[in-house]
Amino acid sequence: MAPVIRVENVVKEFRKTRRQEGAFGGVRTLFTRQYDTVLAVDGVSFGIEPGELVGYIGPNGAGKSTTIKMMTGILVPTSGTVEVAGVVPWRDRERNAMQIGVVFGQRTQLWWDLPLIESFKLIGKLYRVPQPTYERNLERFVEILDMAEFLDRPVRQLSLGQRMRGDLAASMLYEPRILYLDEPTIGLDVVAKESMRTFIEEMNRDSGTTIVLTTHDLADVERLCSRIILIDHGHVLYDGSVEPLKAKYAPHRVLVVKLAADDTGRVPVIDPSHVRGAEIAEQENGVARIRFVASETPVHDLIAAVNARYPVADLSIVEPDLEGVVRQIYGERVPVG
Amino acid sequence: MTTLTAPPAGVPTEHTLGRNLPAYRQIMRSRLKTAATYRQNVFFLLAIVVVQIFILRKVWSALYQGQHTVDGLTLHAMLVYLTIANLQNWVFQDPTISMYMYDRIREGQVAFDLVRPAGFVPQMFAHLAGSSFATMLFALCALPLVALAGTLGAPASGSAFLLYLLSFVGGYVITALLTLIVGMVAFWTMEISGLTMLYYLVNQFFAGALVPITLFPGALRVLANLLPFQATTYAPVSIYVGRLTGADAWRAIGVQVVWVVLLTLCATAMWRRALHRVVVQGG
Repeated sequence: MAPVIRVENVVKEFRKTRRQEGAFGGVRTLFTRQYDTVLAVDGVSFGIEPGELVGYIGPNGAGKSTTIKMMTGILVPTSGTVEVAGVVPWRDRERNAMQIGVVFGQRTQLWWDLPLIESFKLIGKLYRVPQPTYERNLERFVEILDMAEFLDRPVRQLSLGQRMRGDLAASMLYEPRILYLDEPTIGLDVVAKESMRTFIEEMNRDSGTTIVLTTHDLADVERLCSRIILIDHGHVLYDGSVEPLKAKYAPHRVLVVKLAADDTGRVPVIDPSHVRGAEIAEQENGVARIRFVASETPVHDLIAAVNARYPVADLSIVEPDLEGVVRQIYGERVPVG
Repeated sequence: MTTLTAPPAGVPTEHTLGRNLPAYRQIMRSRLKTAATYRQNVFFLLAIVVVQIFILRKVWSALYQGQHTVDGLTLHAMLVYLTIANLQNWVFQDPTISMYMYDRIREGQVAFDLVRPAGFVPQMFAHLAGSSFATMLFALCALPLVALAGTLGAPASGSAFLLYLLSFVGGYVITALLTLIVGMVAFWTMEISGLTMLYYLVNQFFAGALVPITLFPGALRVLANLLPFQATTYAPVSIYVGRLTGADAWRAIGVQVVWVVLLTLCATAMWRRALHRVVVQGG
């Protein structure tokens, strides 16, 4: 299948007026034309297939939001090109608008002073949604996002979680093919997050909506995304599924062994030579954390080796999470500029 | 910078205007509801204009000092002029929408306007129209109070009234364009409250709401005639009280048309530059 979103060699440079220091600095800043150039995105390329749910992640200032803004047509790249469902977003704004939905977690597209339902009505008219479609979608979204209770309440009185649910519903009322979510779960509690995730999952699975999601909450990514694009300093560091990333950056698993007291009533200590192909990361109060690489040391061999020599009260295996992986990648990066 | 070739959003072609009409109607409806939410505030603002009308009546009655006419207007006609001019000016000068634009721009909500099928400028125009319509309803409700504070009177003639209605629409469109232009300044400066106050002051004076501009001294009158403000208030209300009739009235309406064209071009050019600033420089 041809990609529905094509980002090719996109570069975005910002020019910021340089502040003049010293006496009358503020006034001199107004009258001088000196600029500092900031390279926010430096040659990013990727393609997204129809129906994919892609996590676009990176630390603050990595260029995530700038890329999303170029994909939505809010920013024009300094060079390179973007094509979304056959449209260059900033060239044909009207066609682009009709096929994309956008949620910015930090901002709202809802009408502040009016009941939530009024914003939905306006979105319906703005995007020329036929009345039966509008009603069907509204009914469905009210149910999934549990909005019935606050539909008639002014947006300014909604909690952040309620407002974000409203924003998410607003972005999908007109059934766009593509949905951009820029930190949609920021600042939300567990319940609201779960509600948002369920909705995103359903839109992707049932309606086949292509979704690009940026987030700092890697639990969102692990739960929702089959593929992630990791960027930093305006470059793509990784593009692929979550599993190989974990295998590459976090190959270790940890076997946690809780030892019981032996015949003498003492809790033994595991000798490192008894767990070949693994290392004891920590051993304290009868609990040992044994690190091993799953592809090199089969876990059942390890368990058998421990079981043969020591009285085991409990065993568990800790899988690496994305959080740790990303922390490791960010930790390794060389600061630029 | 090779990429900004297509017409930017917000420059409506006739085609998109028709398609977006239901959306604009919905914006106006919602605006009306918002205005109803804030009706207490409107009554305070209304109190200001009623007091102003009352003071102007007292001052001008004293200035006439028994003279029958000043500059061809009887005291009664002058008081009718001042009352209607101030009330109309109050309806036209709606700070709600330039504030709304300012907030949207400053807080970056304008990003959402770029991903809408309808353009930013026509959307804001719809907001303004809805808001003004609400203000007009308030003004109509307050007519008895206005009549008490000032002087209301019938138009000079039937044809004067029809021409007034035509000129009223022209004056409204000019004011709306000026409001949008002032609001769009927020794309370049972080604060527009000073500019807005200056604009209201200059507008009120040069629109002829305090003194009809025919009574301005030489150079000031020339300046007033070169500015768009006289076309918003002085022209329509002068037609109403019979100060401008026949060919003069039509000429005034012609001048309004010229201003509508010029200010539309200006607003469009400004939006193009603002859009360029947002999408290329990132706001």
